[in-house]
Amino acid sequence: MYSAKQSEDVVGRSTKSALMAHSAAARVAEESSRNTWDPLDYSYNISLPQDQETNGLVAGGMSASCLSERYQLGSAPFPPHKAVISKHSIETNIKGNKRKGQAECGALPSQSPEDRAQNVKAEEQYDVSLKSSSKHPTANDEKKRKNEVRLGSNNQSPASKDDYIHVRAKRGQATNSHSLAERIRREKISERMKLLQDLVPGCSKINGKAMMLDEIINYVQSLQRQVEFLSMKLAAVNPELNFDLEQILSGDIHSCYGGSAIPAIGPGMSSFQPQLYGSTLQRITQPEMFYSAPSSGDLLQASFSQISNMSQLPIAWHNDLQNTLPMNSIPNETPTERNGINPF
Amino acid sequence: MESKSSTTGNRDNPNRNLHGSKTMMASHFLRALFRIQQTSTSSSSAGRSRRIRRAAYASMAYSAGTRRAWSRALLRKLRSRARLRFPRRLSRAATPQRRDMDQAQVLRKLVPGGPSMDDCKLLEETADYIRFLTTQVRLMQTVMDSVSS
Repeated sequence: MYSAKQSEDVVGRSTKSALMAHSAAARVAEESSRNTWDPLDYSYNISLPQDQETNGLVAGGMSASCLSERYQLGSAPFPPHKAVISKHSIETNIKGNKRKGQAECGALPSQSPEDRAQNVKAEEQYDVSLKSSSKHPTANDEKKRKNEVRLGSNNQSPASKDDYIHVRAKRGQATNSHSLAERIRREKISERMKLLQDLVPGCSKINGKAMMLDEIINYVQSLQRQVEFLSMKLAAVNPELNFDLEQILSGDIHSCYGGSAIPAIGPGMSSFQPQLYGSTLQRITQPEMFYSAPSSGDLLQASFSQISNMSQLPIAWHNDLQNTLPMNSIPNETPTERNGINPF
Repeated sequence: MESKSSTTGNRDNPNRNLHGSKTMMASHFLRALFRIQQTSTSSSSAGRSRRIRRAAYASMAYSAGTRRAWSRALLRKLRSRARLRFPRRLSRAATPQRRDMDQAQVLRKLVPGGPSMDDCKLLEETADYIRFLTTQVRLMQTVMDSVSS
């Protein structure tokens, strides 16, 4: 009986010691790997179950997540990627060059207690399921993951959270700091190309960047050519211009817009015309003072409505102008013009 | 208030609300047209057209303000009283290969302030420039129609 007990104890102790040895080994491996950190070295992960995807991702976190999927940890969403990013942020902190890693550290604190809780739960579940052969690796991986997460949370405190752009490295993508920056740049560019696609007419079908740029260049050139052409036409037409606008501004406003606006406009208008017609370049101030009057919006609206009525303008332009005309902000906007030197 | 928010929110507002700047552009342009009309009744039509063109770009730049790199560059060009030259000439000998390689360069020549921008900023500024250009063209067409009818 003694020998049986002894043997049992021996067995128990041996298994326990084996377990402890394993965990100690795992911890030592973790320590050593932490000390000599190589982000591209995925080989430190000793005991992996067979089917693991380690493409470009740090293996520890991924193995834990895969195991979780296999054992169906459905209690709370298991965030594999955030743990991966914590590891990546550790790398980049140690490398000391990339900001985004720190941002991820900053984004993690809310996650890490949950992660730790989940890891504890995972370990409990693993302990319950008595697969002795696979138990040790999973425990080791869980421990490793816990250590990783704790390390991530320790690193978060000195990071400033608000200045940086938060980036998430997706599964299967490289977490190198350079490639992250490249990817962000590419995303920004594609975002802007989409905006441009909306602006340039007839470009919704073009998918290539080069063709799109061609179209954009053509469009800008055609717009500039249109400006030149229209200015030539306006120059040719100009002798009539004076007459019509004067008519607009003086004549029909009274007929079009009755009410309280008109008496305010009247004295302003009579001072407006001689100032404008006699004006040299310096006498800009008078019209600007005029425009700063609260009723200036009405005058402008009147003039534009006159123009639009006369020409059967496309309705959109007129509606746009009408929509803008709680126009109290014109006095706020004209200072930018007032301070500028007149180019003419 | 509405136009103020639209003009200050131009950068981050995805709706690209140009209302406030449209009225500013129109008023500036009309005033400039008046002035040109008054001060150059005897000069040639070519000189007048050049001035009108300059007025068009000036009103674009003024209504865009100093928020945008292209408008700042345009204002600088206008203030230095340099001749407003734009690369209008299509490179007739442009092989497609050359075009593909130099697309960013060509675009940089077109957009004012272009040479000092990286690609990302260039696209952003191009979008804004296109917006204001279309507004200006529509404004000029409006004036044209109203005058000639």
